[in-house]
Amino acid sequence: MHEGSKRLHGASILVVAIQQLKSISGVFVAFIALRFLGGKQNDLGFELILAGLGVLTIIPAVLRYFTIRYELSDDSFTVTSGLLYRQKRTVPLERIQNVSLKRNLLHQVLGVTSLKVETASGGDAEVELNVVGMAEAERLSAALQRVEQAPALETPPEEAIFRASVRDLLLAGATQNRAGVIVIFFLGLLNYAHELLPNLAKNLPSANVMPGASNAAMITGMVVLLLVLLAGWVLSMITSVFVYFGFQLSRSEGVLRLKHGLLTQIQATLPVRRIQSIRIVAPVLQRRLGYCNVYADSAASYADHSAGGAAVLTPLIARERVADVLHLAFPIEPHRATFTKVSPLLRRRSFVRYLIFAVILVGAAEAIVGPLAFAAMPATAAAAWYFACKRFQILGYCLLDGFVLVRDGVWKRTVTIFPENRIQSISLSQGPVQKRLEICTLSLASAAVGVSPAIIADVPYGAAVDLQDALIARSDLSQAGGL
Amino acid sequence: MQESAVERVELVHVAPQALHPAIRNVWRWSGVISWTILSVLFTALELVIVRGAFDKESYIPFIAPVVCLGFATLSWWLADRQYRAWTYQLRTHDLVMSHGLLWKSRRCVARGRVQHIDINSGPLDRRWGLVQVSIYVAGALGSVGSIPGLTPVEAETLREAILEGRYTNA
Repeated sequence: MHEGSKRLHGASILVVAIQQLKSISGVFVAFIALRFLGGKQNDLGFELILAGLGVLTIIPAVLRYFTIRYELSDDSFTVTSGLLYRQKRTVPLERIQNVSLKRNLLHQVLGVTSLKVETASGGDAEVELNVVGMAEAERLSAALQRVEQAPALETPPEEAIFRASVRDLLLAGATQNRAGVIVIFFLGLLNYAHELLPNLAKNLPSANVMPGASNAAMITGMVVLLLVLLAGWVLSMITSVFVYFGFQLSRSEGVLRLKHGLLTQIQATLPVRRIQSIRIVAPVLQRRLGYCNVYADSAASYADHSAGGAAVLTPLIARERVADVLHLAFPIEPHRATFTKVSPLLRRRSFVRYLIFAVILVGAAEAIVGPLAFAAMPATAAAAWYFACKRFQILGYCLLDGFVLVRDGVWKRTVTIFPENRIQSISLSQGPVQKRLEICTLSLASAAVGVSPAIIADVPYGAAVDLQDALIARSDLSQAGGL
Repeated sequence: MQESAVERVELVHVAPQALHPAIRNVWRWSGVISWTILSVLFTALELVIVRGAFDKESYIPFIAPVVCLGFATLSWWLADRQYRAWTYQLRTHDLVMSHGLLWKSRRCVARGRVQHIDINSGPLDRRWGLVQVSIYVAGALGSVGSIPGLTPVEAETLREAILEGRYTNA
């Protein structure tokens, strides 16, 4: 299949011009404001300047349209651009990590889309076509992924689908940890309010003069603060509905397809064999309700539809259905995982760490509520010990069917799943205290971009070295298919 | 300190390898240089912040140079032990880099995952005829690890040995 070079869709002039107008809209607003403040009604200069700016945004948009050309050949995708500085970028098809379509409202009205092509080089997308027609985009997207259609891993060939309802999305927005923090803060305030307020009033000098007024001001402040927090919570729910509206995940011929968005619609493809790791994340509230999120990490940047550099496979899913989504990418039975715990010394070390944090917190509270805060010390110490024990229960690793699983997180439980052959480097580090206790920390890194390595803290030293050697040997032996 | 790098051409192999001993001089002098610069900066800062710092009887101008001299001495003295802690080892499947005194580190990089290898040398490295090898893998920002204190020949041998067993994506 060889075809001549093509231009972008004609609407690109309009789209780019409007995008540029948007980016300099601040200047326009400033000019108009100046005009009104200046009070001169018949000043032609302003109109001329405004018109000039408008022309300035149109010219590059037109030039762009006439200078950008793309060409799809049998094994590569070439884009030439630039008027004075010509640039020709060739992307080999086999290097393409994913192709995504993004449509905001304007795109939808005009029936066009922007198309991004990413390779493993990280950073921004390698190629962005802004904009091409919808049919052309679908055709390009299929053709660009053509090389990908041989699945590398043994997975069921049939198409499986996951959808998220609006109710799911509302719940997802409501139960992210930031919402959890707000709720806890809210409950904490209610508990302490009656103790907190009189104390504060006593400590303030003005309270001696007008105790009533000061209290009223305090309560108003509290209410405003609560309203702000509540608004943030609602906003979080609304955001997740807008971003993930109509969420749909499907798989065909070794490629995962994602589709979501209300105003800005996103269609992305992610070849299964490009997935570096999958993370199952459950913030505390979602875990209590039996839900979690699933993310897939790849070597491409995923700059636009990202959650910390990862593709969202599900915004919210019931725990018993996680395996179904997981099976789209990895043939693994997560319920069979039995996690190996790390050294019990982790408990002690975590306790000390949490306790230091607690002491700082109590110290800060002392500055606000006075010596009363020290009464909370035993309770915070107990909490520190509780969380240290909890962390020891949770932190662990597991080798299962050619996969490595790492579990961690008291507040935000995360299970990271790597195929063994995706691990590129393993670091073992040992601080002075760890050295005395003969334990160390392992961190496993794949080629996933923008994702921090999976960390297993406080593993007994001997076991850690053995694990490190065994894993890296397996990773190198089974290098099926590179990235 | 005047010893120049003797060319130690050995094949890469199973036993953990030490760096070239001359790297200690690079570390010592880079410590001296950076602490000297810091001492000048801190002294200047004292001059700006503390009023009357440079009165005749004031001891303040001496704080930064003395502290920095202490650290420079410490780093000079530690270079030897740092050197003994540093080893690298090229095995069948990976490259292992171990180093560190207080904070120990042992990093394994899968050979098949190495994307490219840089050999570079700073002015101090060149003074003692040494180079540094940096290993890059996909996805990571910057190098995943680097081995200082190799002779150019050693570095070249190591680079070829790492890339040799690598899969080729034809």
